[in-house]
Amino acid sequence: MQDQQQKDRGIIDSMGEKLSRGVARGTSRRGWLGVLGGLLAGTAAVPLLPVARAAGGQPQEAKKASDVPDTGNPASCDYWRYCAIDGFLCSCCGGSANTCPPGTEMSPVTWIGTCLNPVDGIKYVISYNDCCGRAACGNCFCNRNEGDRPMYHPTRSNDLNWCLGTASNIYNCSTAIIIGSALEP
Amino acid sequence: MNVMEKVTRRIARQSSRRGFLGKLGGLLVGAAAIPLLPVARASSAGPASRVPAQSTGNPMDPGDPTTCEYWRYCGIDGYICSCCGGSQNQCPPGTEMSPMTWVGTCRNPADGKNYVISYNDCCGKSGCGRCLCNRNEDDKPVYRPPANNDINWCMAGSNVYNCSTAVILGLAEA
Amino acid sequence: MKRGICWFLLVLTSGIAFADGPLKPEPLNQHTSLPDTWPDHWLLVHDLTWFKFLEGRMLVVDPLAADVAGQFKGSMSSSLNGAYERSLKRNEHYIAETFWSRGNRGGERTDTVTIYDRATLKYLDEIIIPPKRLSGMPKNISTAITPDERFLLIYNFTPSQSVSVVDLESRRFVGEADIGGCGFVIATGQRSFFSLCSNGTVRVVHLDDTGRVQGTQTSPQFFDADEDPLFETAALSPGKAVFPTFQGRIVEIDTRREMPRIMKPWWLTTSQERGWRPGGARPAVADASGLLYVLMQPDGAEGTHKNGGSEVWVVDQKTSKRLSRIVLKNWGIALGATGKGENRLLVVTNGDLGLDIYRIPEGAFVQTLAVAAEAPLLTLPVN
Repeated sequence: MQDQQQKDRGIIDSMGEKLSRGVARGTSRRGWLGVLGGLLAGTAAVPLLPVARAAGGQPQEAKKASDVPDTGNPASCDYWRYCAIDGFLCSCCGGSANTCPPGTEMSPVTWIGTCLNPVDGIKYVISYNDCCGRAACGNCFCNRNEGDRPMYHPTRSNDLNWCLGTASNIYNCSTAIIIGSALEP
Repeated sequence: MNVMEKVTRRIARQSSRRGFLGKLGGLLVGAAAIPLLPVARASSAGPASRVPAQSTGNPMDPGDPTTCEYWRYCGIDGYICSCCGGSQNQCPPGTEMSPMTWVGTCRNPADGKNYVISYNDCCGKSGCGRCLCNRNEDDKPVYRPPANNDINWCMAGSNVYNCSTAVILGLAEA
Repeated sequence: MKRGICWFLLVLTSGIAFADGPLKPEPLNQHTSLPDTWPDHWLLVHDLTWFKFLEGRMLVVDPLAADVAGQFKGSMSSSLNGAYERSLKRNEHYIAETFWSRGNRGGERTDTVTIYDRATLKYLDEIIIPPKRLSGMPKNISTAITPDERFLLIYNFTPSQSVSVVDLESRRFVGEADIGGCGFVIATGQRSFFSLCSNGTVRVVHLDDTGRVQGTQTSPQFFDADEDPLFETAALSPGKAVFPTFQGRIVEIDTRREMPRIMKPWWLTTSQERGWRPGGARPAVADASGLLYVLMQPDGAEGTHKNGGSEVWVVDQKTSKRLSRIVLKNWGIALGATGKGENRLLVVTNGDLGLDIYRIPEGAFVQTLAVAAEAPLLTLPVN
């Protein structure tokens, strides 16, 4: 009965499987968050991050970060990048894992998480920028919380409405943008 | 935020107040240094249940440090070291000052400025038992001494709480 | 509607007289009014309306009534994840709301504290506040009210962190307290509040009688917001705010005085039970007699803190001992409590976002409410 209920958690947990505990405990994100924390406070521009990026710091147009072997279905909650996503998948809303739907505005500030890519075994830093200014998309709701922390710890919280610094703070969907690989401390 | 967190942990292991002062970041403005306020030594004489009125001897540091109304005690919670053989910024003999401390701002009525105050506990002897203060806006002066299940901030000495000081660290932001 | 009005006018002008049948004509424009004093067991349900944020609602519900007609008592608007407080002495509800002049596409933002009459649920007034209110998952500590119900405190996140102070007597915004590095508001003493900080401390702010900031204090670090953070919901009872941590400790903070007093954290679980952890959108509540209820999941691990739980553990706060374990009929994701004395009720938001009602402390299941709500993640007692 309880196993069935866990599967039926519905809106809160659509995971098909749990991450292994070894992965969960082995990840330390403090080094990356210490660097990025200072960049995520109230800036109007998309922050420039100290990692190599294919497009030199500008939001990317409908292509993946270069050279990252990337498998899985971005319209499914168990896609590896979504390990800490909270909201509707932009892939199901007219956008993609790393682009906003047409006409929406990407939030310049957000929180970041770290997810393990099962193909190359590397932990990547993921920026979960929201897309804003249209009514909630309503498709493909997912909530996974790997590395998530309470809302008073904003750089690690996916419960905040990150549609801030945008023309409207109405939330439409969430992306999951690779911004680099996590460094071990 | 994580920079502050690392700093806070380092502070907890240090006993140097100058190091603490340097790390307070947004609490201090410009070149504010610790003001030099000559203070009178607390009198340790007197019966156990009463402490004679005191003055710091400095008109810029007004009030009686043996009373809860003394301006620096706006955030104190515990026994006043001035009543316990110490003073508002010195521990009683035989006790040690703990580096884990509440820090706050209090307004000095003499100059109208806000000062950063550090409420370092003095540790190593049993609770002083005199002049218990916890900032309280009620009329009812019902205080509760620190109990066994309160967090004990005494990281120094024998970990037993004796009394609380109120050390000026500097000027707060305007 | 038009046809009806025309019909009525036609009848008037035709000169036909109405005879009284067995049913008397009824006056128009009547409203059901709620009693001035609400039964203790009634419930306020915050509906986040996750799929349409601007349409949020607060529902007034009788959770013991047999059907939807008896359960649903009325509603108030709660635009864009509004936050609720109330004054019993003024018989007023306060809902902090956010509006956009062009709806979903934005325009100009206006935040208000909207005031409703307690019994009639009529709109009374609004207080304009800075357009900075936190927008996020609903938590009972996004707002607070001083014990004398004079000042309302609203946590702002832009992402700058501050607290707006509203004087409810004069119905004015009076000022903002900066709490950078910290979030949420829990009232302590008569004129103070504290917030939870990401560096593992609490920040205390003291207000004077005009609601202006008089001073602030910062505690020593007493928790680790990365390793074992306090959940950002508190089980509130008079003089006490209790926070579970992700791994299963309980942190109690004494709020009777202007300076809050932090108690030593203690483990809810024995060392053999450490797989059990608190979880959900709201994992802990206190009932009116002071018993603590914690939503617990077996096999908790990194990332499961919002999953919810299969049991509710009942804890005597005086002894810090577990009294019993309630095995839930349905998986739960958030707790609420209402009622007093022999009529205390536990409200469990279940995995289907329905509301399950249990009598407490025994944990006897009563019913799942028939009231429709899209995302009832926060339920509150009425008194």
